[in-house]
Amino acid sequence: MKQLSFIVIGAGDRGTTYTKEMLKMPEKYKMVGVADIVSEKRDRYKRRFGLTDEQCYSDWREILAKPKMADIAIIATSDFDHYEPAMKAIELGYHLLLEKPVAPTERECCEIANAAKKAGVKVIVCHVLRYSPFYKKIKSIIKSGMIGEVMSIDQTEAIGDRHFAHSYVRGRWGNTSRSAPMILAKTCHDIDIIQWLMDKKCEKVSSFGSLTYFTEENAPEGAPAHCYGGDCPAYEKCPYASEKIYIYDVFGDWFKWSFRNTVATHKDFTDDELREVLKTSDYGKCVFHAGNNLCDHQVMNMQFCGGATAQLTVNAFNAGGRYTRVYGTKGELYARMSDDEITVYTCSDNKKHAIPIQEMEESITGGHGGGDSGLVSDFYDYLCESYGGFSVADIDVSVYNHLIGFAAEEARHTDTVVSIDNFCEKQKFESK
Amino acid sequence: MKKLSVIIMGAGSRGGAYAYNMNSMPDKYEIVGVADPNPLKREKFKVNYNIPEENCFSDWRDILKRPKFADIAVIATMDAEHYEPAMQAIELGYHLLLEKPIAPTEKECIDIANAANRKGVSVIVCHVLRYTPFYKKIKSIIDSGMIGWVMCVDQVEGVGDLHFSHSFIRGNWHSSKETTPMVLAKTCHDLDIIQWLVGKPCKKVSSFGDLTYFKAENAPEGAPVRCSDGTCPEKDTCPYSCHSVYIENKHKFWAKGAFRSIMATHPDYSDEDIMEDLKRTDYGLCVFHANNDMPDHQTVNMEFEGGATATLNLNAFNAGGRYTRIYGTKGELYAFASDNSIHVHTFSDNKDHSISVQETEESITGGHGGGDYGIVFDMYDYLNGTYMGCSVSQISTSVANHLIGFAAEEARHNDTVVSMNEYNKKYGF
Repeated sequence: MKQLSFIVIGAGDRGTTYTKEMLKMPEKYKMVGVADIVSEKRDRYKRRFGLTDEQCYSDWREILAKPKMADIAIIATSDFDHYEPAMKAIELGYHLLLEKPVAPTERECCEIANAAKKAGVKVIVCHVLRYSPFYKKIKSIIKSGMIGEVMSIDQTEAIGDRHFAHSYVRGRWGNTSRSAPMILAKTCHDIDIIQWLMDKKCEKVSSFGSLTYFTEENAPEGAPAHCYGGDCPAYEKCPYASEKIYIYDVFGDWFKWSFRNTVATHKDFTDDELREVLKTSDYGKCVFHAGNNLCDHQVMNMQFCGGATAQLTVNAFNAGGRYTRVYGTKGELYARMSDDEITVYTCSDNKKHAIPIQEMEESITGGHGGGDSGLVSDFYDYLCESYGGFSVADIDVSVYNHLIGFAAEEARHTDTVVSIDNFCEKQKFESK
Repeated sequence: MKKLSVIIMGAGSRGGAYAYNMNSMPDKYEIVGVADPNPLKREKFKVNYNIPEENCFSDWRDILKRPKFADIAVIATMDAEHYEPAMQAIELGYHLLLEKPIAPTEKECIDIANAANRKGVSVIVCHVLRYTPFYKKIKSIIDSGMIGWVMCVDQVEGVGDLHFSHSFIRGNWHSSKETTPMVLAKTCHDLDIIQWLVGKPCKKVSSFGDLTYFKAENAPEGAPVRCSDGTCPEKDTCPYSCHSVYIENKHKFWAKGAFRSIMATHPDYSDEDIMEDLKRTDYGLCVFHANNDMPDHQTVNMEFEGGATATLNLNAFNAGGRYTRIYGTKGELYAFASDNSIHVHTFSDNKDHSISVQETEESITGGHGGGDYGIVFDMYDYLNGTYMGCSVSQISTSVANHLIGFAAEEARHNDTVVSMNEYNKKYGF
């Protein structure tokens, strides 16, 4: 069995996740380097994965200044830092595992796709949901013809109130100066899934939505600009209170863990040290005074070649969860990502069927419903040209689906219906 | 207690539902007249509601030739025949209980609203869902502030495969030119509900969708134009087989009963009679070879004043059922009308709540989950000036919400986003 070597550029949450999944398959993968600007993150890699000092670089420019040292480069830097390392790595001949969104602008996305095509390297974007047992099952039900031809899809990405506050109000994706628009930052997954399940070209798109709630004018009476230590009169009922989430973890979420990973400057970072950081950190800000500008609710309407339609709803105002409803000429499918089974109604016999999702062990504990490990597994087969599945999509497909999201933003800003063909032509992007 | 007298134009399924419910409140209502071209239906009304012979008419024009002889006129004629009787009845001074959709054109809808406002009569459109314990409960949850301000509503009207084939392929609403476009014929209810729950005027709308599946090119190999011929190779497996739906009633669907009540010309109407009528009517056509043009799937996206958004999906490709999901600044609500279930999640305490709907006998056994009873009940209080609820809507609100549907059709045909302000101005509303 051929062992593929990889380097990791960006040792944060996502980079670490793929590293862990790959190292669970040592016969398939071997890590030979990491680059991250935060020394504690590099130290973590040394401690956890046994990398040597020589294998650690403090910047992607350093590791990519060296001759090609591995088969694969994982690019898991922050969104605005995808383009340059990706272009450089492609130039050097690396295959890429590239985090989403591909890049924050149409132009950069198209350039990455074109560069990969020219260099003849494979660039797989981390649309991890395609690799989860859940969505693989939905796709296979559709492929089997059980519900006939797809006529319409309703997709809901319920971000979750506190997740939204953590990532899209206070966090790194809170402002378009450092993040792609919401529809891409969060739901490029969903646009990709919709198109994948539909298996048709998207023809046109419209979109409505805005940032409406998490703004200054909706701050509770007397709420200080900085939540942590601010003695806010609304503290008791506020689910976003900084201390509740980042110190007491009142609701049992993952945000405190993520926050600590982001800000810790050494091992065993204590709660007292976290408190010190919160005094001035963005994560200590009031969610109504955070300088954020990403939409807190958005809807998207799509029409595909052949006439099928789809809708995407994404917003902060919910408990969280992904829901997919597929309406087909022979039946209807409903699925919620946290459930064990998918419900299918077939019209020929007027019956409802509960279809269990074939769980792999990893999917119970693995991230993104098992998509993280699924991606890594399928990626190997794909690079070894022994892939028989239907999840893997090369960069052309991913960029095309990203362009649908960018087109939705144009539609939203201009109150128009945008033709995808025209939009792609404007970007000089030719999909296969 | 003052009794209100009622005449009913159109003694079909809807007219019958309101008559039945009014009759169950004899201290509030008295049915004193009926008009319907079908003698069997007239006779049934006459007998059930003790209507004097001289007040039974075969044509609404005749009943409205009389000077006003009741408080209320129920207009439950076919969609294309709402406008004229409504305008005449308003002119005579009747309050109206007017079936939906109001009329097939923007102009006619607005005319009716203007006439009613000028005359000073109440015209209540039969948006019966507003009057069900189920939707009243959802509205009251929102009004209580439990989920804060509404930021988004997702509504699904799963028409249901068999229902779609019965009403919108073979039946009375198969042609958008003879009735109203699908988005109004079927989902003016939903547009109205969405706007009622959001509580703000609609600002803009976009829509996609079409008739894509139920067309000749998708007919199974060898399927004859008339399903009733009995020669189709798919006869035994096709869920739309007219034998299966209208004679065998294989999937225990209400279409057989509805068919019988439309077609029966005598009380001993048998399965053999059904077969004969299938052979000579559109109900016997193959669903791929019928004269239909209603979209079999359509999506509508909306934005409201204040920024809230909504989506509506209506299509034939499902088991049927209405779903409502409401996203608010303080919580989320999910409701499935078919089993009266309402679930709320509140953010401040991160808790899930299952909210029970006060079921009444009428909501369990009555039409439209108790909406048919509810509207009749509320209408009485409203006309008496004692109404304290929030369901009743006057004609201006109903017309405004119909216009969203008409605008959606323009958006769909032209591939545009339609501004409601501009659209309304265009029609002088």
